Amino acid sequence: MRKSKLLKLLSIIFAFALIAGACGGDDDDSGSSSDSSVLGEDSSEEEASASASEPAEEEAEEEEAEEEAAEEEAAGTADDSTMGDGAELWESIVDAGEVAADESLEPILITLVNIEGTPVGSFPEIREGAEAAVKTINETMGGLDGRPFELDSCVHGLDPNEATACANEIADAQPNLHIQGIDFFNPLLWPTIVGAGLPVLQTVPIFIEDFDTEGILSTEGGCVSSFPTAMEYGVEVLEADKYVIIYSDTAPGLVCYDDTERRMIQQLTDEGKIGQDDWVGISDASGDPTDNDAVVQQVLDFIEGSSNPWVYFGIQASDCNEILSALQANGYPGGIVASGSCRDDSVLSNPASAGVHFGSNFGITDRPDLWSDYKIKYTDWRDASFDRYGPSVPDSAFLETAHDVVITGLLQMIMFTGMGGDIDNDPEGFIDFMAAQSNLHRAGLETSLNCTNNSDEFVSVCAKDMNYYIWDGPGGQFEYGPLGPNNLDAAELILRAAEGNPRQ
Amino acid sequence: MSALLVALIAGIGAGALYAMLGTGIVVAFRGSGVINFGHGAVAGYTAYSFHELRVTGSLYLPWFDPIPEFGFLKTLKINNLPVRIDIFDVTDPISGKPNLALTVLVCLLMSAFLGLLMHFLVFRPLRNSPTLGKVIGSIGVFLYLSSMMAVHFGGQNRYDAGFSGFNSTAGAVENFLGLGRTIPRSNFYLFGAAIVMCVIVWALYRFSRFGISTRAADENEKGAALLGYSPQFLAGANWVLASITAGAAGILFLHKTQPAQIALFVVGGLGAALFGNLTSIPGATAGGLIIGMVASGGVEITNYDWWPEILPPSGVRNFVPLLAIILVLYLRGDKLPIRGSISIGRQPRAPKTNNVSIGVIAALGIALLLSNIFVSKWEAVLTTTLIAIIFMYSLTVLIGFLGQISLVQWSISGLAAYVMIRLMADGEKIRETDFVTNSGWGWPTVLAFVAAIVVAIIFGLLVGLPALRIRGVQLAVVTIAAVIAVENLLLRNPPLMGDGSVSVNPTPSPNWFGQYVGGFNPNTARTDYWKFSLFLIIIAGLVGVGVANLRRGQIGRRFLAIRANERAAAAAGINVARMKLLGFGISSAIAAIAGCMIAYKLPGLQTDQFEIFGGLALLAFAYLGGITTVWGAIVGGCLIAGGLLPEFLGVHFESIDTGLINAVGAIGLVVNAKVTNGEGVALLQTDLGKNTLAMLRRPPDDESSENLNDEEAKV
Amino acid sequence: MTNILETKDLTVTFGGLNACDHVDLAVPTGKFVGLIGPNGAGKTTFIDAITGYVPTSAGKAVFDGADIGEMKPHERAQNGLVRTFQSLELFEDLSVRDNLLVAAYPTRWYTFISDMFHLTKRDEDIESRVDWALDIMGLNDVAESMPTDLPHGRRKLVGVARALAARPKLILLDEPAAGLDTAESQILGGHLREFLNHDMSVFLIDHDMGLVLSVCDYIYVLDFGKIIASGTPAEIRESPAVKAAYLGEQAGEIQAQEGERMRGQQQETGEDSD
Repeated sequence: MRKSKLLKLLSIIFAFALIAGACGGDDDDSGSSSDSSVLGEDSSEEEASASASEPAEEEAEEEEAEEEAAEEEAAGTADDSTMGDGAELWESIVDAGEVAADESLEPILITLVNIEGTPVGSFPEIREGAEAAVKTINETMGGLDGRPFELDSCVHGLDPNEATACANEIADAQPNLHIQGIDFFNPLLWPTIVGAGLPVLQTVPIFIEDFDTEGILSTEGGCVSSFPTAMEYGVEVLEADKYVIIYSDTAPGLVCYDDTERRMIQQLTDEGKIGQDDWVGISDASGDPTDNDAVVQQVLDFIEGSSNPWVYFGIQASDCNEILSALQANGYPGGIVASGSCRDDSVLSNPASAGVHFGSNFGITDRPDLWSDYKIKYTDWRDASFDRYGPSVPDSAFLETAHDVVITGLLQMIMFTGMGGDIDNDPEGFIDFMAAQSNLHRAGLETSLNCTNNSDEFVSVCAKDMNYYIWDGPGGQFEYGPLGPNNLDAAELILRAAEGNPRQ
Repeated sequence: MSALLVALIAGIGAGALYAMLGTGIVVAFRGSGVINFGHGAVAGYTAYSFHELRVTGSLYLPWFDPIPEFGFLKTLKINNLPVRIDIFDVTDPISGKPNLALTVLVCLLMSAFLGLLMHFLVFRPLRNSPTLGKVIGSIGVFLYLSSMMAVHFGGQNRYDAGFSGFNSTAGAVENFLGLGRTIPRSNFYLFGAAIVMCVIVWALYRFSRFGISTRAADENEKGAALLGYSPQFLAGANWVLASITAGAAGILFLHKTQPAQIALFVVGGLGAALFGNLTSIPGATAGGLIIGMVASGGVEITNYDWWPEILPPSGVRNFVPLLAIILVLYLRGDKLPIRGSISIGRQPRAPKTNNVSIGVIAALGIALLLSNIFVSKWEAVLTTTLIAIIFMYSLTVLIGFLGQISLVQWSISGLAAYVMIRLMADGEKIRETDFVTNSGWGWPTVLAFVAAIVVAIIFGLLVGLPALRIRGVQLAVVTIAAVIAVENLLLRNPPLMGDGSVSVNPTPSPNWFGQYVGGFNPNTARTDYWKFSLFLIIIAGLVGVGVANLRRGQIGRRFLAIRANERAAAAAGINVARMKLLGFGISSAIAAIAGCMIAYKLPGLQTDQFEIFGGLALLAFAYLGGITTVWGAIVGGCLIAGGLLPEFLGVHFESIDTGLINAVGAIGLVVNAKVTNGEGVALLQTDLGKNTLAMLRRPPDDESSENLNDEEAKV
Repeated sequence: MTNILETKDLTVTFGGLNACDHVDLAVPTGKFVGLIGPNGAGKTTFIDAITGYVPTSAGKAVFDGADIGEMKPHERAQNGLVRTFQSLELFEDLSVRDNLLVAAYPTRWYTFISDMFHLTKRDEDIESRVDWALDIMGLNDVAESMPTDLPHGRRKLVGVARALAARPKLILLDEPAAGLDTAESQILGGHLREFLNHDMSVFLIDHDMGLVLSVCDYIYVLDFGKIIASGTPAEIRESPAVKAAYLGEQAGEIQAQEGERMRGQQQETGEDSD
């Protein structure tokens, strides 16, 4: 077998590439990955969720923020009564100065499962955000009573088999706390992770199983906070006389529509707040460019003769862009409400996004002038945390979410052990402790979460509120909507609708 | 009625994208006889490049720096294979954005460059390979470009304002044709763009010397050579032309869709190209437009009250046009073009597996050993590998032995798994964490298992029917339509498959002869139950022996005879049609077994798991291992992501940069297609062993030792 | 005497051109019949037509007492109407012996099951038939080789052996001698008549006039799709129509061949077996 020179060259490249592939992962800042995604400001939400609501993206004008933070620092910016138990604790740790953890003590083990490196989804920012938080905890916050944190990540590709292998590995490791990253196979992990009795905090819940599995806790509401609030917002706040709900026909999208949109608005209908014929759900094929105009035709048909029509969609950003463009191209005259999952850079730079009400339960985005002193201080501190770690990915909502969830985990652990809890031998006690909080502080969030009024069906969701902010259009900024600075809490609606839940 | 008409007409907007992709696929096919599954990825990469240039002024070259910043290499700073070029200064105070025309030009040059790379690095080396090698090559292109998109551009959503008139600011045509409805004006411009592209390419073929030579080469490569062009020059030129059309489509549709998704729209483009019989540019354009129109009009029809619930709308919308194309292809049958070529290429060797019993004992021994010494994570890895091996056996039979390229086998696995779940379900909640409870018939495990296999066989035979008239790469494209049918019409169909089919479908607990053999161990909550591993080892062993014996026996001989020469096979008294159906049946039964095993293992299944690109990846790994032998399937199963080998490496190298692993895997595929012709790592190693032995017996000469080094570098 | 094969008005049309034009032809059972004609006369088309590879537009073919017009090629082969190909059409991925075994063994519906369990029995009768076919074509030494490793001529012989292994009632040989070297031609020529001793009739097409005239009992001459003459070799040699259409054209060629091959002349007198 004689081979041409070209082949020899190829084989050499191939051999090098293998080495690169094998070794490249050792150093996250290395080689080819360092120059990737220079542009991306926001993380990809490809497939991530039809439902996941996403925290605000906070790129404060740093200098201004720093000044203000410096002024306020002495006074104390956190207030447990509004921001939840743990906010003041965080501030006291930060204000006490930098203390390193004692590396000789037994570490607190944190595990993370995350999807990376697949063509349809890769979320290294989740892992890096968690790693940054762990580094900051160990170098400046003194760990948990001096014990350092250790993060063990199980990263896998787009394969449920790999996901279950990760779950086994996590269950074998018996961590003090498991952080669930973004994973398209969450429901396959829960039997193992929950079955092993591990305390779990989620970053970005996607599936309905992420909301209704007992023993896991989510400081983000996903579609359970987005969709019921959106129904209330459209019906009660905007007082739409025709309300169109566009939903995605993916697996999580369909279930979320059935259980958190259709049933919620049916509840409102039954209560006489909107007519049975005044709302409709229309499905949109995810990632399919062929149906958008036809879907919009149906919207136009339905709203004919209406004086105050609104369209709501909580679908992934790529579809949002298509729907927004199609609505504009067909001359849709009414208003648009969209979930946080719609809001990424690509959508915000679409001229059709001007005037859209975007949902967020993390406060108004990019408006430090409207933020509380606490939020400014926290944001500033978090930026310093990222600087210390040096992420290889640009700042993004997912990076911040993962970081904050780990910090929340630390605060919870400190409070749990402060009450005499045994973090090493009493995972059940820790789970119960977290689940019993009616005033939970999610690090960086100005409002508190209540885990005690979760409905039976969405037992793991503490965040059930949301606000809607109006986007000026490309190059503009967010403004307060009709709700002003106050979030809309859908906890009541969810409980009312749960009474008629056919699945119970 | 007017609503339907308007919906149909509105479909020309999206149809234009399919039309443009279809045009490019036809161009590439005419130039080289390759159906390029990576065509959409070319469009996607160009679209990303366009946006990147407009925003940051940087151009990313379609490769990665292979030398890691690692150890002494870092100190030496030799990792400077240029990847990123800063072309434009975006801080330009006047516009803030680079010149539009210049950007478009750079991007089209980029796509032309991609075309050249594909020609010289992939398809020219594979020009004498059999059809399967070329199909694999184009799958390699798809995987490679997809992973380059993820590495360079993060796979993120992009929005570009697009071009005036083609974007949504163009407004709508109110009261179109007096039908009382609106159609976006941009749709007509996009339609116009597709027509213009069609006319230009058609005219180029019709009137230029280059085009005439290509058409001549289409018939007979020697003929083209007489006209003064070398066939390889023509192929290269057509690759460039095809890639430029892809790039143009990518840029034009950037405002309407996402670059990462365009790579997946290649399926619609393939449908369009088939409509044009893979040779007609106007045909492909019309086909694309029709697919877009039917898909759009289908939204309207499927919303009518009389629409039966058992037909899922999106499935019908996407499948019906493809079904029509298949029927046309089937009826035209033998008149399909089989592109003239000087050499068709040698099929990969498919030697008999002798010493089956020794092999079985060794493999089972190793598997048993592994299942006992591994902690639970490894148990899960082992079962992943075993299931993949079982699935790959189905490819060994159908593609390796019989030579029928079917891309639907993975969907058949899914079909069997879903049928089995539905038959076994009894409306009871199976695990605490399940959200959905499936209703079903509550059949016992073994009965449901057998029934699932029977359903899979029936479906496999149905897919096999076109294979009686359609051959080679056309068959491969036709089976893609079957993939869409399975996923969208059968799996995601609540009336048929139960509530779980549109969510995470909880799998029931299997019980064989009183023994629970599910992968999930309810006592420890791990997916590592030893009885499942044992059960799987036995099943994998039985199927493997069966396949090896099949190859040794009469049927194996007949399959290979058909693969080599259908005419001669018929002359030897072989009922080719029946043998092909038998092959599809056996392969589907094996795929069904794999599907049921997945359901046994995992707590729940999702339809996305069985989509086309998952199947392509499995085919790719089977090919890497060796498509023609049982050992190849075993090696391939160990190679897959989550299988024994990568997990083993993963342990030693902490975390592998998985984005690059895909790219490396894609390169490995293409090199493998060229070097081993699909015989794969398994046979290569056997040869290597034999050669080494032979070398030891006689004094080594220069050439053989050189070969050895080459092969080591590649494996 | 019955005819194993009989065609009546057999016509094959390609785009308005009659490649076979109302061909009436008969092969008596146990006889050796030849078909000759210049290039493009329609000889191979005729074989393609009676083996089912091209559709006939008119006329009928009766094989072994049954009309085979509706039969598929493999059914005709299974019934004993076995052909060889002018070009090499071997199973390249199978060894020489396996090439023969494919054709020799019949398949039942359950064969794949017994195959999977390695239970399919070795049929000694069939194996010995295969051995005989290998032997008669001089392929014993390469039985386990791959066809691609053999020289062109021997590969042609594999094709003939494969047809023999199928136990044909009538074997249709499509230019078996084309491309053979002298030694291979002698193997073939020397054994052709022997085929008749194994319960088969033979139908031969060849360019090699010497070969056809030497081995056939009866010869048809085809030109432009029509039978222009038929008769015993002696009659054909004398036929003025044949000379005009075929022999004249080929005469120079034959003379050139005679220099290097003696076999044709040696066997020219051996046409007496009836």
